[in-house]
Amino acid sequence: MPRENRVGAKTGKFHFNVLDAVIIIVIILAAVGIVLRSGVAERLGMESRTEQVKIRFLVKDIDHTLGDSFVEGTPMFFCEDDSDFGVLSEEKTIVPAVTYVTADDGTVTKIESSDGSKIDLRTSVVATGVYNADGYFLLGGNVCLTPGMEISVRTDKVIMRALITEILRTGE
Amino acid sequence: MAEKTKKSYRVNVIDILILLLLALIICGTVYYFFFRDGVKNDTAVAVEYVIESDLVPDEFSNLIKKGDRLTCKNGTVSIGEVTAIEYKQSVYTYVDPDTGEQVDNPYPGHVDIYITVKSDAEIADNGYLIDGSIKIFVGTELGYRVPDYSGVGSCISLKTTRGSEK
Repeated sequence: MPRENRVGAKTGKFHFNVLDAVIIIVIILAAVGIVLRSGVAERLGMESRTEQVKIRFLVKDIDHTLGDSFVEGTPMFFCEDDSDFGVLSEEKTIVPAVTYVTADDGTVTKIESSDGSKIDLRTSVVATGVYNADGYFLLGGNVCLTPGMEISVRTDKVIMRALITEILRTGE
Repeated sequence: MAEKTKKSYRVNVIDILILLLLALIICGTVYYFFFRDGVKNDTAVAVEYVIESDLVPDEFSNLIKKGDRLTCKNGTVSIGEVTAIEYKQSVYTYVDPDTGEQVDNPYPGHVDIYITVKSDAEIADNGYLIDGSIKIFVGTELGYRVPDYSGVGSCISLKTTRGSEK
């Protein structure tokens, strides 16, 4: 009987008290916390922040015949899960493979592959992703890439280890 | 009738639970913002350590900046803030077989990077624990990243700047 009166069931009136307000505030805070914690807010804003970048990379010491496999427009994938890495751009620089040799007197010399059978290849892919609040580039919104990382990627013909050298915003 | 109803309000279990929850939230908030450092155990310290990454291709020079937040290789744990950065020409140390003298010859195209990092830490067995999960002591090999570079290095020096010395 007293309980009924308190919530106004019998009289038909609802009395909004302090506890009700506190409960609502707690629920709102919990909801905001969950949204922030789970990254929902970040994901909602992600679409509008997606931008195109050029990821430059170096493939070292490969056979010279593989240079022709890097053709503009070729899609590239991560070896680990076949997810998209990007599409090869028109950039391509091929130089004789470089190694460093230590002589008997302790001097270190840079040596280039003399017969041209081995090459170092520099190229890039065009990809899309976002920059997070800390300034990291996230490919596709979730794979963090930075210069200095070595990654395993492939085209439909060639698997390689690629050293990321630069990530450039293209402004698109 | 209305008078009587008002006076007969009784606190029930739900009300008590709500009040307890509120009390816990308030206590937790006050503790977090005002007493966390003070109440924390006496193993809390601030450390400053230096990571050396050697033989880095010189095209990666100048990508790490003072003030950058350093995280572990996979980005899940913050391992401190860069307070100083130094790049030096890499060398190959050669020991002359005749004289036994050590000679440092330049290693072309490469640099050694010295990153000074400050961080809060806890004293742990045989070293310090950063963010509760990364154990560090001189000699630790550490994968790290900042927004413009990822690398691997070794801790070559470590000192406490606040709290008890180990």
